[in-house]
Amino acid sequence: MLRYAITRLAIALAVLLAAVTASFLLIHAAPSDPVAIMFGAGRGGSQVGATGAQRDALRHELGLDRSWPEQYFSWVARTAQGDLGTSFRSRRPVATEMGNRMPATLSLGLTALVVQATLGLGLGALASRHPGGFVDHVTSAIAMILVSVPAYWLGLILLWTFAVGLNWVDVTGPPDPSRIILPALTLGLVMTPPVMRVFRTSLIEQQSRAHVTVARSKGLAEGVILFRHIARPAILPAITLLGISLGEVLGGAVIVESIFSWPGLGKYLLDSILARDYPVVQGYMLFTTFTVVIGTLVVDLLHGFLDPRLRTS
Amino acid sequence: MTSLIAPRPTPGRRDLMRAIGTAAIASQFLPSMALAQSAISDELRIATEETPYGLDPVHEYSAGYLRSIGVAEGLLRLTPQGEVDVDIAAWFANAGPNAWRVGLRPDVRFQSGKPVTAKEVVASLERTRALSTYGANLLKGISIDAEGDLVVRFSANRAIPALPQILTDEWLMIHNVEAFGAKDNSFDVGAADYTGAFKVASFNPRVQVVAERNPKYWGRTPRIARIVLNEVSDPDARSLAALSGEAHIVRSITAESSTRIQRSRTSRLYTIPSTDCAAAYLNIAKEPFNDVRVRQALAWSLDRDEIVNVSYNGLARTAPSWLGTNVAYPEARRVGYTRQDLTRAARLLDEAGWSLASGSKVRTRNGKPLKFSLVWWGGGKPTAELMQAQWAKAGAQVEVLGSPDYGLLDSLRSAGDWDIFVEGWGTDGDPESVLSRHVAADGDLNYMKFNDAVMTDLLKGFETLTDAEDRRVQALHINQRHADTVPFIPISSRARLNAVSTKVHGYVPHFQWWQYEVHSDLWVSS
Repeated sequence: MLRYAITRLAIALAVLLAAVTASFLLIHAAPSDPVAIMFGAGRGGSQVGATGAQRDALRHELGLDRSWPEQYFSWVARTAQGDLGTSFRSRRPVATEMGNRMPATLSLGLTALVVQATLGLGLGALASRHPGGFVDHVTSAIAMILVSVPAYWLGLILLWTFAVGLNWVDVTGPPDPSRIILPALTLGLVMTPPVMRVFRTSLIEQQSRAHVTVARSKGLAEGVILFRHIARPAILPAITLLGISLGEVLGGAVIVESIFSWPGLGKYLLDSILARDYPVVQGYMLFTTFTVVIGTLVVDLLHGFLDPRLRTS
Repeated sequence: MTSLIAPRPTPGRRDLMRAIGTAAIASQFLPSMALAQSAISDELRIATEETPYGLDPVHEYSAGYLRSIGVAEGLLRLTPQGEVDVDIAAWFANAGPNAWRVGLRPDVRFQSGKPVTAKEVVASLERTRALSTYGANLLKGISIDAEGDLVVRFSANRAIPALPQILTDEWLMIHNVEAFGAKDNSFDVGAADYTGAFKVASFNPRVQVVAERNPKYWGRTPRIARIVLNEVSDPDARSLAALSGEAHIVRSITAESSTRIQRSRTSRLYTIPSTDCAAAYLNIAKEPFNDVRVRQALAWSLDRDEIVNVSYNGLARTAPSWLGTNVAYPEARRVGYTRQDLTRAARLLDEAGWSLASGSKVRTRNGKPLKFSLVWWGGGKPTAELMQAQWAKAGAQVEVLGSPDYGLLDSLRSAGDWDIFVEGWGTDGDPESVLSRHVAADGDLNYMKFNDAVMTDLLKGFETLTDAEDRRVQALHINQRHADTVPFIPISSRARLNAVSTKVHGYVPHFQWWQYEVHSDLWVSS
């Protein structure tokens, strides 16, 4: 198990280093000068503008006048120490700003994962009981609808219904607990179909396996057969999907947080992309990669724990 | 004071939702999050596309927001009619061609209770000059001195006729230098000491600002006790915040949502008379735009009424000439390209050698088609596509490209690889500064590299003019020259639409969004 864990950890570190490099290259390959953006784009009033000397001074202050390799090595060195740079816009450390927004995104993401896991596993289990039956067809239809609906549209419909129509929730404000329901539901619902379908298929497949037939022939209780011999192996692919969903949560949060004015990392990223705030975008990309890599690592280790064949292969 | 806002209609269900939400996150870590707020309070709630980045007036993207909610004030202000008026100053007077004196009210105090004297005002403006790029540029070459306790003198080695207008600028908010300190101090709520009727009570950057009534306010005590400014960046969500009645004032409603707001019983739609002028900037160094007749033909080919109706649901103003959207220059609406005139456009293009062959839809000259690209950004795509269709009627083949993000336009412009782009800039403020930015040979917004001797002389003419009316007339001359030479084609103002609850009383729309949306006479009924 230890060797398996070390191998997985080494792969995770390599992926992280690649992500650091890729995020730097991608951002710097993007067009436009952030200094021009900071002083332009219709901001700064109509009476005055910045002079060329002021632009150059700011470019120097932000380190943008240095060569790409210099900027890259400086970025890697600072990142290794947890310093993600300073936001062009707010002039605050990116790590601090991300830290302030992290609780909102984590609470939203975890609640969405609970929604996804509950609905996905629950409906998947229901559908697998009578494959091809009425319930199976209904859950298939639900999955089809949810997978086809864009999160943006679903979010607006929910907001319209519960904020405007019923007046049960607020559209704006700080991350009040009453406000987490709709964004978590939106995010959880659009991520539910894959888990639902995979768990259903996996359960059906396990039910016809030889070890289940043997267990039944030995006279084991149906509950034991269901949970130990069917659900346990069947849940492995679903767990993998849930692990991968961490990345989806962070990606989906960009849109969902913006619609629901949820002050988390996703909204912060979107605002920063539009403002060409490079350090924030880099920091977020790194954070997302880190989260997905760690999520995948945990899932891999969990797989190894649940399935001894993986440890020895 | 009794509550001014009625309780929400279904508090039971709200409580239920809150309970479910609390349970859902109970097992998680949310120590920093505020729990449910009271549903009943005498507060004014504003939803806006962006909230301040900081609380210090020297921090970019901050001062205007603080002024708009009555936290910060300047020496002078602009009225909704565009006239300069006193704010915390008692009077202002010309003290010769190169100087102005501004008298202070004796009773003005900072929110901390400290009296505001001339010394404090000088310190505040000098701090802004030292720490803010825009502040430094606004006050460039101007000396600021205290004359006793209640008079501030502004002087320079040149004429400064526009000083009163400069002092209305959002960057020049009077603040307590002792409280803020020598450096940018944007995130310390306790240090944010201004003179306004409301004092910042809590601040979450780019999320929310809460301001409470300032008991030490020097002016009339406001009727509202508390203001909550929430950031709602998604335009559809902002519309929903207005329709649900949750926000009393919602800034920047989209034209698409305006019909729903107009039909709503709970909100009124305000079309703010913006002085911005969206224009098509032409790369006059390139063919065919180096020929003024082509530029004029393109300007005559535009149907501005159609653009305003389709792009802005009829809620913007056409700009027949550059200053045509500014209320201070009503004469500018009768100058320039007052209607679509395809016949005149055709004649001009024929004269320029761009002829239309029989059966062809695209004009050519020496076998080369009249073809160019048009770059849009932000929400400018509908306008760009309309312009494409309108110019097609004049025989031009237009390729439309763009992105909601500014980056594409910025990179094309940096590389000089552009023909036409659409962008909007304000026309309010000191006319010399505003106009020079665009049409002076060294103007920072003169992307076209426009260099016209007549225009240069007209701009130079400002130097000898100290009377406000004379300067206004000079601006109109420049506007006429601009219409004749067309370095860029004025299109329309950019509509700014606000949804205001029917419960809000005393709301005064202002063409500068940051000028006193909140004031002492504004109140919310139950």
